[in-house]
Amino acid sequence: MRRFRLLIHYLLVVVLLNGCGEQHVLEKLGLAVAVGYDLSKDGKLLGTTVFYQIDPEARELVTVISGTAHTSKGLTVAQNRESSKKIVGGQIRVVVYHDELARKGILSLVENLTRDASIGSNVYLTVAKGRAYDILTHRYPENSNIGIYLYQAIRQNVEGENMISSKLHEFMKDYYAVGKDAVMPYIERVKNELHINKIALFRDDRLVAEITTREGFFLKILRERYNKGELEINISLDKKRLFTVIEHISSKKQIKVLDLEKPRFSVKVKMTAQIQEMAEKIDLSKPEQLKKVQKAIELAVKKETEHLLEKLRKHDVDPVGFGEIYNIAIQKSGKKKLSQEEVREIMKRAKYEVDVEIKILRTGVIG
Amino acid sequence: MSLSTFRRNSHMAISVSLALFMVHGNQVGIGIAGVQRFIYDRVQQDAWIAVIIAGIMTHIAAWFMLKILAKFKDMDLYDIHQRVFGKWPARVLNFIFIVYIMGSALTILRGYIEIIQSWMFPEVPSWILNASLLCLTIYGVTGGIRVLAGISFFSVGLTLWQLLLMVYPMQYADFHLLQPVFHHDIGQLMDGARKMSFSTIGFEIILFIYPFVKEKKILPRYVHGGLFMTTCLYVVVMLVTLLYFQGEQLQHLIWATFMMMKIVEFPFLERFEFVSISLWMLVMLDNLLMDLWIAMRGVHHISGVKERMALFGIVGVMFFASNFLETRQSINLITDIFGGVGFYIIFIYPIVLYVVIRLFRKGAVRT
Repeated sequence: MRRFRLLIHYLLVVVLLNGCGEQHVLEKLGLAVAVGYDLSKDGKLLGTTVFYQIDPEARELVTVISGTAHTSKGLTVAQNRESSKKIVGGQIRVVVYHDELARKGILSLVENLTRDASIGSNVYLTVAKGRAYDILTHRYPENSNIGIYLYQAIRQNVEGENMISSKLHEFMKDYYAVGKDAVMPYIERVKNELHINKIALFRDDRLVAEITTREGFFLKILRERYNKGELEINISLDKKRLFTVIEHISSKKQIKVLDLEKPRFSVKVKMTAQIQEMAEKIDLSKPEQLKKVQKAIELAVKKETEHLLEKLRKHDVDPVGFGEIYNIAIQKSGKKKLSQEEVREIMKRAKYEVDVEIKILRTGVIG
Repeated sequence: MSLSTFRRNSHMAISVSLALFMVHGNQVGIGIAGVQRFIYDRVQQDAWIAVIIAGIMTHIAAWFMLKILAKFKDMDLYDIHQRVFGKWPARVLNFIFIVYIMGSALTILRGYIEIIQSWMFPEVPSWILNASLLCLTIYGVTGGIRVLAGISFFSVGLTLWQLLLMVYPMQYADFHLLQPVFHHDIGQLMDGARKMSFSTIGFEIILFIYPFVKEKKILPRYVHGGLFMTTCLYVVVMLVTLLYFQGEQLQHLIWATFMMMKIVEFPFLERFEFVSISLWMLVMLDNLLMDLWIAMRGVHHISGVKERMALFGIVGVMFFASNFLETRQSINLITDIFGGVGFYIIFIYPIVLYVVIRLFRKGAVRT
């Protein structure tokens, strides 16, 4: 009986202590959904926050406020002064960086997102052409909340494997890797729509170049693996140029160092796919015809991949992670681990031997 | 001969299978939340090998402990000290043990409060959390050994399933990060294992529960089973951590395990790490209970104070000591001190004691 009383007392204390924690009443909070960072004219940061309002009487469901400060946390303080609700970061899904800002380096901004325990790791990071302020404050007649719109647009493309994922934790992992660089989707506002048709390439924490999403397809082949990708490709068949679409691509890559002295890599890509569309009538039920088409696609993919690798080397970025693989090889040969600068210096002279192997599994429901 | 005054009736005894949960439960505590970076610091990508070595070390130390216990029927370490060394030297040794056990309980308590303050409630003062956890401890420890055994059973059962969540970070695994394997010599690996040892400490509980175990003959297999479970758990967590984080990134993370939990997301529950941190109270509670129980028995043994009074005294000391440690630096300091001392007390001392007993055939009960 005494122990029971003790337990009751303890539970009572626990219940009462619950009131000691900070309260988060939903109606009093501004849940930030998207955050944008720009460089303002006086060299300070300009922050824009899109947030939800949980208020049944409000006419607009979304509010956008902005402020300037020197640090990202300072921005939250500045923005709180303009807001009737406490801004909290637990629901941030997208962060947009002005490309001018990204060219100067964004490490401290990204790192502060990881330092704050209330912000999740599954936040998408993006770079915007032009000011993030303009993108987030623009009125899109078809979408009530730009934050959610942007988030869903990116997520849909990442999950459909049309875009390389750049969540917060993935960016940080790539940033800290020796011999691997990060990428982000590059968004652009065209009138009342947002387009994601470029990929921003980073060297360390600075934006240095961009590639098209088409080139992004080949980058994704080399960076990770495909399970359900699709691609429209121009092949030459019997001296004729024609377009074909392959779908349900699943790919695997294997990268090996061939030569340590004169850095040379073998890049082997194995793909299986299904032909979905041919621009011209070709009888694919004949094995030799199919073989021809297959060879033509292999050649086209190889060409575009080589073209991409050349472009990456020209810009001196390494989003594939050749440097990482080189570094492992050099350690296995008994030498010391290289630093980021050393790897970058060596990668400038790198040569690639690309080998593509494609297996056409099906040709749709007709032969 | 002054055996402890605790009466050893059958209702005070615990089933031998529960020893497995007590060993495992007392080993796994606050260390698993963030030990990875300390081991990475020593042996980089080979950290998982150091974890395995540390696991083997626990088996060796436990073997010696069980050998010692088997020589003295129905005695715990405090009694054995008295039997082997005589009254006053035993008191000194027992006192050192009590201080050490209280110290490691303090690091667990303070470490967990630090986690709560950093992740969930930064504005709640430490003393409230301290007081509520210590009240719970008083309630648990006064329940006696069978309550402790029950709590450690539930603590393990209700938290071990979180291991399955490691599937989420594994989706982002980069197997290059483990290469090159075996790139450190045995000295470096041993150094890493020694760093790991503070997180595997806790199996010394067998030195104190031995008199209460019913079927002592088959105790070793349960003890080693518990140790093996712990080693497997740590190896899995360490491997996933190494695959998920870049090394340099890992060195900045204080609680790498919770950082991995940040990407776990369910449709009905985003931000799973908050659930995980709350559940962690169970993981560390059984540590705290068992440590204070050991300390309580010790104080009772050397001073003859009633057990309940001894417990109040210990909890009072813990409360004040814990409130003194406010900053991260001071918490790191005591963790370093008790981690360093712990290695010698738990891994080296049993071997010394065993040798002393074998050489001088002191006080062993002949069977």
